[in-house]
Amino acid sequence: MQSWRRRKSLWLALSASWLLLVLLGGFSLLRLALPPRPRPGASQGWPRWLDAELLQSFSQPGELPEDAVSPPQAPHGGSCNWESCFDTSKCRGDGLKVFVYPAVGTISETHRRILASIEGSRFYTFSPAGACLLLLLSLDAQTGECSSMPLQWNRGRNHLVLRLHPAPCPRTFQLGQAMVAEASPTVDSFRPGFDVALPFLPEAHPLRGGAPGQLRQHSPQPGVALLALEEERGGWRTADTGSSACPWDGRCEQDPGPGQTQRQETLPNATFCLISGHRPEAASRFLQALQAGCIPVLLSPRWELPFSEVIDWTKAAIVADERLPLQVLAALQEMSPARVLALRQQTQFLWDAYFSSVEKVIHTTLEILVLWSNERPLPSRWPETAVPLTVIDGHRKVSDRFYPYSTIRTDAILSLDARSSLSTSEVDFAFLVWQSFPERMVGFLTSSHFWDEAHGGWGYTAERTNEFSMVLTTAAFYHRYYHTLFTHSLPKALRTLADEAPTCVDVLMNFIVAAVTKLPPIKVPYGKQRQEAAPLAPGGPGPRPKPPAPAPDCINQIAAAFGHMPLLSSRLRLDPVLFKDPVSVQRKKYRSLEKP
Amino acid sequence: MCASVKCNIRGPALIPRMKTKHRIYYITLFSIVLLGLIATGMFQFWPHSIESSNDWNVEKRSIRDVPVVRLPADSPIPERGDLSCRMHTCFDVYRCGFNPKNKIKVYIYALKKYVDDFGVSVSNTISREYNELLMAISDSDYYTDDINRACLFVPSIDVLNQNTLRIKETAQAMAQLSRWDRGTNHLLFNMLPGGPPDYNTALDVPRDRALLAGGGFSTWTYRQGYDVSIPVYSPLSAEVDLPEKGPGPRQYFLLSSQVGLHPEYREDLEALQVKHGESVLVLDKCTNLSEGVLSVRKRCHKHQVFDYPQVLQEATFCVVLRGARLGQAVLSDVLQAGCVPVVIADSYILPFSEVLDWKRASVVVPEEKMSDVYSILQSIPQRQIEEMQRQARWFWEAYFQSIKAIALATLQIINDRIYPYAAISYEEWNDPPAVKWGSVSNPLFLPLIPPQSQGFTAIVLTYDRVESLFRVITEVSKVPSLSKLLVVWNNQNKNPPEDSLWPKIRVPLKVVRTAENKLSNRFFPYDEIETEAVLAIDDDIIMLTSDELQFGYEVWREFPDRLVGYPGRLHLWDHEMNKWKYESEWTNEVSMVLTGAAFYHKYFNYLYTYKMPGDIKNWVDAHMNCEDIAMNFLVANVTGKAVIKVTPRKKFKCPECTAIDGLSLDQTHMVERSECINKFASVFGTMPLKVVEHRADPVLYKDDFPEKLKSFPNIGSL
Repeated sequence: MQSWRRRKSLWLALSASWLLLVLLGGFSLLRLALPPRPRPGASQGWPRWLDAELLQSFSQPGELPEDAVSPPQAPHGGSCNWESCFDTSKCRGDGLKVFVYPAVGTISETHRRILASIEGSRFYTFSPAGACLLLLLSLDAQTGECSSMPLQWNRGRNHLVLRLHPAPCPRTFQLGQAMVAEASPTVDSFRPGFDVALPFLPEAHPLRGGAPGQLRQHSPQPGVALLALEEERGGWRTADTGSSACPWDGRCEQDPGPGQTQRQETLPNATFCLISGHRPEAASRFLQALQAGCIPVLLSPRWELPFSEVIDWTKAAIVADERLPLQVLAALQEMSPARVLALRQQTQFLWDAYFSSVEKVIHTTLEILVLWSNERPLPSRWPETAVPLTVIDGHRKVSDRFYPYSTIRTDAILSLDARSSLSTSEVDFAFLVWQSFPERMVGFLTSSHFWDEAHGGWGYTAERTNEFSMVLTTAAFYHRYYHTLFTHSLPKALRTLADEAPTCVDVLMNFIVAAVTKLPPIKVPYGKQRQEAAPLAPGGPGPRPKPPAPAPDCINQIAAAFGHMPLLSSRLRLDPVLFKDPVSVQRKKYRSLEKP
Repeated sequence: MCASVKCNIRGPALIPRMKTKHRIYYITLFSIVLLGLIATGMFQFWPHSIESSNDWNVEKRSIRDVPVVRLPADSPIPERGDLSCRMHTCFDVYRCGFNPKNKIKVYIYALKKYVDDFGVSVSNTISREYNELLMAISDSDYYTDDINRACLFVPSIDVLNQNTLRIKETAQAMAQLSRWDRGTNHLLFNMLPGGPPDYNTALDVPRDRALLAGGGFSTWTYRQGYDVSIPVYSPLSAEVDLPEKGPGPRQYFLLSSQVGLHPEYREDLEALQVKHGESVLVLDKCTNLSEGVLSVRKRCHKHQVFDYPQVLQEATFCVVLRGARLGQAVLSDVLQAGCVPVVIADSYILPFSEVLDWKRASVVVPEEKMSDVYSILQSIPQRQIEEMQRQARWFWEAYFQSIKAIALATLQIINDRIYPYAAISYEEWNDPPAVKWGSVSNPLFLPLIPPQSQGFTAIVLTYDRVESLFRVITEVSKVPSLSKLLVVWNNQNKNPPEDSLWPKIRVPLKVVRTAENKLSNRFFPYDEIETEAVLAIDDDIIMLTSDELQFGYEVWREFPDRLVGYPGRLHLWDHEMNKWKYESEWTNEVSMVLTGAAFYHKYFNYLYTYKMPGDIKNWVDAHMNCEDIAMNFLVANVTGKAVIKVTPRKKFKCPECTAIDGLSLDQTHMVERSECINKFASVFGTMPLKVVEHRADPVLYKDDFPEKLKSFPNIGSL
């Protein structure tokens, strides 16, 4: 028994020492086998100096403000910026006025369009003396002529040289202090804040309107290719990035797999469009992808992206270094649906807002210059508030009604005509609805446009139908921003039209709002009794109340000036929640709206 | 312990078999083990050389002990600096190819003391700020101690202030860095460039291809997209605590606090003061300060003494004029005080201008317009001024307040250039935190009306009510714009009916079987959904007419970013209970629609499944309720918009289906739904639901108009 106990303790001691040995020995063996790794945190990196407290500041107290003084530097050649090379004093008063040097000799169709669009803009002036900006069109290489130095050149000061195609002519004169608006300029020659990068426009680019963006669906479809690649001879082919192989040539060892599909001339139906070539091909491909809603993936573009001074391209395109192709591919594959969705929508927004027509491109260019020549910072355009409204009584000319009166401090404008009679609850309800949709027009009486096959033009009807595309501005709520647009952004021709044919104003205002929002207006209920009794039209009571019909050609003239038909139809009306429901009248807030 | 238990169990069986030879064996074994133990123990506590001793030495060292490097007078000098350098020409991006998570790796050279042939030092070893800067980099995620994996190299040669160094010798010191290679991928920090008399706007040290993070660049020296423009750090940032002062009008409209201004500028400023009186204050150095008062911290106007920088908080706008250098430390003080800087320094590249939108925080006035400055500032609306004051203070907090902030912003900018697709957005750089958290950015921001021809996909969630399901399928298939029907079969114990038994309809019908009976399955973004519009419909909703559904789809097309549904519900604040309450009474307002039948964008299925905050999804599946309320919260929160209720419909249940003991069931139902609202509001941290008082009806709804001419004559009742 005793030996048994002894053996037991022996056993215990033995196993315990084994354990210890394994623990200690194993641990040290491990330390021997592995190189010593610095402990994370304190022991690596920049040292904590014992005497760090004694270190001196990089600038001694007093040194900064005591700087020696030198007179202001005069700008010396080479580069230019807005302050040093542009004389803004000429732009005071009327703002930016543009004079265009008349074209010499034969000009191309594109140039004719550009000239027309500048001459039609509110910036145009006939006299070079009153102009703050003198614009010189640099001629195309095709015409074989190059412009010579204009008379008022003055070393290029306050001049803008417009070049739609990269460097068509050898420079016959020094550009000097002239700004250059050029299609896809190289990054090296581009002077930020002074030059303007234009998109590369194809010959057939429409003057006005332009084709809308081609994205029909926000979210990528399960069956649609992820990536489209540009072909060397134009067109696109789609590739599947699901495979690990790098789908573009040259820089990858692996061959593109058999998953690659046929070439297409048309716009690519893919989520991303890879553009790696050099300008001008890449630049025109870029615009193509933008229109298609295919997110451009640019590999080290050596050219400045269009309007890069004002457009944040990171929200619509992906720029990556061509030297790191695999990282780019991985980034595309991992991109969240939310980001893809945002990028795609932005391509469409940008295309429609700035690129779809020559006129838009030219106006964007001029707007950028206005922005630069403005001394004070520009306020945001859509201030957000929901405050009571001010009613303004306009007179004299019809378009004065839409003048952005400085007394209008509120955002909501209820435009009224002396003849319109609205009840308080109608106005209350309409205002409430407008607060939910401040960017849209909210009105009571509606009309529609339609395509008249017989006359080959647009028609207009105020008949009551199942749909509408316009509300009458004689009784409507809208944001005061549209007043600003009406007065300051309309081409002169349209303002003249509005003054000459007052009935056109309604149509014009609806065009403006629809062009901005790309949405139809909103109709709210209107007391039927008065609708039938009170003659809204000066024409007197008829069987059905009709607002004054605009001059027949009005809608076609406006549509021509816009270059497209922005109006959209709606089939709904917004009513109070319990409108005409068979429930107790006591429950209803807007009961007077439904009186028979 | 486990081992000993095992031994105890086995012990009695083993021991009796032991013999004497075994004992010897045991003793030998025991001694070997003992020896091993002693040896190991000795090894443990023996000071051995295999562990590197320098890594614990690195921690605490004196600057006086840094190694001295002698620079021969004829050692190579780098090229002057290439003005045409851009990232694609002078930067070797291949070095950044293996950095994970799109983050560059930065290496810092060890500190050395450089002396010339005569043993005279080339510069001060290191300044307090540069030490802080290197420490900040070293503590950040960018840092690597592996020179072979680094993409960016930062010399520990301090060039923050050009006045403290010998230009040629500093350049020579750069050139002998181990990976210098013409300065490729090397980053230098400089805040005070140039020197008398002409004060260059960039560091004069020849640096070849190295990137320069400089304070005070002008358009002539700044290499756009290559160099980084940084602030001139103001040591007052750390010394003085200026508590944030809310925006709003202040005592002085315009203030100038700089000393040592060019006389011409001072004349201009004083003219402004004469013209506009009390609202303009032009300060200068104090001449009559008593001994011991720090002159840097005082400013004077005539005999009046002001504390600096505190006085800056008394002004709405503060002038930041160029001195000998373009970059002025006063800019940092001004921003700290929440005073809007009026920058008058032609051709100056504002700090971090590559990413910061200075129009939101400052006013830049050309030098020749200095006399107009007052009227320019006056034309800015008060609301905008307040916005700029807030923005100015936020810029200081985020990018100016410490050396660390400056260093990290610089590295982030370079990082963004190398991995542009992973770059930080404009909003993240520029929006103050309050704006970032408070704003909603609608994921479906493009007003794109999808073509009607695309139609919608109806998703019917069903468990086993086959008969009712088939009726729903038949009814829904009559809607003209239906393009596909998807049945989500949520019953794992029962197979769906055979193909031949399903109703024959004109559009594709697809059955998806789920792995688990969960309510969330209704909102899964199935690949089968090829349209953007989704109609979620319960398997017992048979009362909706074809006209009603078609109209609902057309309303959705006009509001594709909203939930468009039929019966509306409301949330109310219960003042007695002090919490939210669910309301299904027929009120004048709605804030939710039931998803028993509702149109919405497919994208919200993705959001519901993958981006629902907190444990809401689990809560819904556990309670088998409130999935519709969760969807209403989600959409309202992400879009900031209200739902659209369509047509007068107030409830789903048809008269014959009202439950027998409806009332008591209703009570508990309401309590549970109210609980859901409170739970979700706490998870979202806010009440995102928006209340509206309108619903959408067809244009001629209930108008006195021939019914047969109406597009949607058959709109059901309550």
